[in-house]
Amino acid sequence: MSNTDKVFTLDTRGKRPSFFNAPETDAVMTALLETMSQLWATRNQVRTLEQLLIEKSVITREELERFDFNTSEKTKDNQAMLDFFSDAFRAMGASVQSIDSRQKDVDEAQGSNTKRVKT
Amino acid sequence: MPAPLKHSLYVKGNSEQASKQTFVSGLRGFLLNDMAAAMKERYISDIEPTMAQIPENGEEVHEAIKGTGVFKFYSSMRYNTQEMVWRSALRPLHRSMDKLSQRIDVVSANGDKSKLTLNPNQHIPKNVSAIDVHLAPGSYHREDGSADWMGGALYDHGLNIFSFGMMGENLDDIGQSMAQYIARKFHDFSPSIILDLGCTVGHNTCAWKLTFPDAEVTGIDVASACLKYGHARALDQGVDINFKQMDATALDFSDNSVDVVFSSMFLHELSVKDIRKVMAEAHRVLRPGGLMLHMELPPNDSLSPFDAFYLDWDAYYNNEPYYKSFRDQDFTQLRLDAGFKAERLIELITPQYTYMDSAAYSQAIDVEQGFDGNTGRLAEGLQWFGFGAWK
Repeated sequence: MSNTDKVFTLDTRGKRPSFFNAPETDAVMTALLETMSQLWATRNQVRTLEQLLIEKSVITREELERFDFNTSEKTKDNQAMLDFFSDAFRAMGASVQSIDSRQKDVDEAQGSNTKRVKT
Repeated sequence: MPAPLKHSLYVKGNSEQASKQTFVSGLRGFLLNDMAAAMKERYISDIEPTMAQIPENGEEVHEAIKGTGVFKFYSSMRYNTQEMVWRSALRPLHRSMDKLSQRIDVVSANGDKSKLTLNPNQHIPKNVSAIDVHLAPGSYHREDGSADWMGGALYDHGLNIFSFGMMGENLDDIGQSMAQYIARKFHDFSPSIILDLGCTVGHNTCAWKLTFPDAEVTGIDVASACLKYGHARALDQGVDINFKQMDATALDFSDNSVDVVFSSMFLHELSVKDIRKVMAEAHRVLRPGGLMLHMELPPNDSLSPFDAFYLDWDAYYNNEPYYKSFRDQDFTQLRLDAGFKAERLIELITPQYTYMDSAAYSQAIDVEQGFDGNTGRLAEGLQWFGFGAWK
C-alpha cells in the first residue's frame, strides 16, 4: 500500500477551547468558516471554468446549464462531500453519516425506496 | 497571499485546495489587520473606560475582554483559521506523498549526505512531543508512514499559508533581516562558524549562509522530520549548510568554537528553565568576540497592556504554553545570568530586509527604532526584534 492510500490524521491533539457561552456556538463557527472556505474555492473554480469554456467557444452558457455528471464522477463528489463534512462538523463531535445511510433514513421516513448508487 | 515556495519540494494543491489555502491566508490577513485593529479600538473606546482600574498588564486586559463579543469572534476565527492552515496544507501533501518522497530521495541522493547528521537516540523533549505546537497536527516531528519528512513539509507549507506573504518569498525574511543587520552594522565581524538553534526546515539558516558565504553554517533541531526535509530543501536551492539533530540545551560543540549562535522564534517555545540552559550553552560554545542573537517577540514590559495581551493570545489558545512566561522574563537578567556582561548586550529592531532595496535597508537601520504595536506582529508595519550579547 502506498502512502497515498493510507489515512493520516488532520486533527490537532487536545481539547479545543470554547470562546462562546455555549460550546455549540464554537462548533457553528467552525462549520461557518469551513463553509466559507469551500464557497470561496468553489466560486473560483466555477468562475475559472466558465470563463475558459466560453472564451474558447467550447460550450455555451445554455449547454452548461443542462450538463449532469456521470456515476463515476458522482461517486467522487460523494467522497469530497464527506471530506467537507468532516472538516466543517469536526467541532460538533458527531461522526459523519454517509450519504447512502442518510438517504436510507429519508426513504424509511417517507416510505419510499430510492435506488441508490453504492459508493 | 501564499505564493508558490521557491524550491522543487513545493506541493501545489489542485485548484480547489489552492483556493482554500488562499482563503485561509486571506482570512488571517483580515483578522490580524482589520479585526485586530477593530478589537483594539473597541477595547479603548468601550471596555477600558468602564473598568474600575486601568489594567496594568496583558493578563488583566485578557480578563476584561474575554467576555466580550469582539474577543469571542476574533478568537474563534483565529483558532479556526489556525486549524485550517494545517488542514489545507496537509491534504495536498497527502495527495502527493509518494511523489514528494521520491523528489526528496533524488535531491538528497544527489547532494552531500555528510551535511545531514541524525541521531536515532535523540530524545524528543516534552515541549515538542506532548502537544501539537501551533496546533499543527503531529507537531514538528510528525511522520506519516514512510514519509519520515512530513513534519518538515507541513511546517514549510503551513508557514507559507500562515504568514500570508509577510515572511518573504522563501520564508526567510527573519534570517535575512537579522543577518544583514549584523553584517551592515558590524563591518569587522566576519564569522566562520554559525549555529541556528531550533532551525526546523532551515529557512532562516540558509539566510545566514547567503549573507556570510564563507562561513560554515549549521542548523540544529530535535525533529528529524524537519531536518530531513530541510536538508533536501537547502540542497535544492543550492545552499551549502549542515543539519544536525541535537537539543539546543546540550550542544555537541566544543567550548569557544563558534562565532554566532542564532535562533528565530525559538525561545518562546521553551520553558524558562530550558531558556537558561540554551543561553548558558551559547555562552559556553561562543568564542570571545562571538555573538549570541535571538529573534523573538518583544518582552511584555516593553509593550502596552493591550499589546501584551494581544501577543499573549498564542500562549492561551495556540498551544504555545511558554510564550507568555518567556515574554514575562527580564531579558537583560537572562543574559547576565548566562554569563554575558552588561556592557556587551545587544538589542535591535529591524525592518523587513527582503521587502526593501538594499540602500533603503541600510538607511533604515541607521535610525534607531523602538518597540511599537507592530514589533514582531504579522501586520502592516511589521518589524523584527532581536536580542543577544557579544561574548
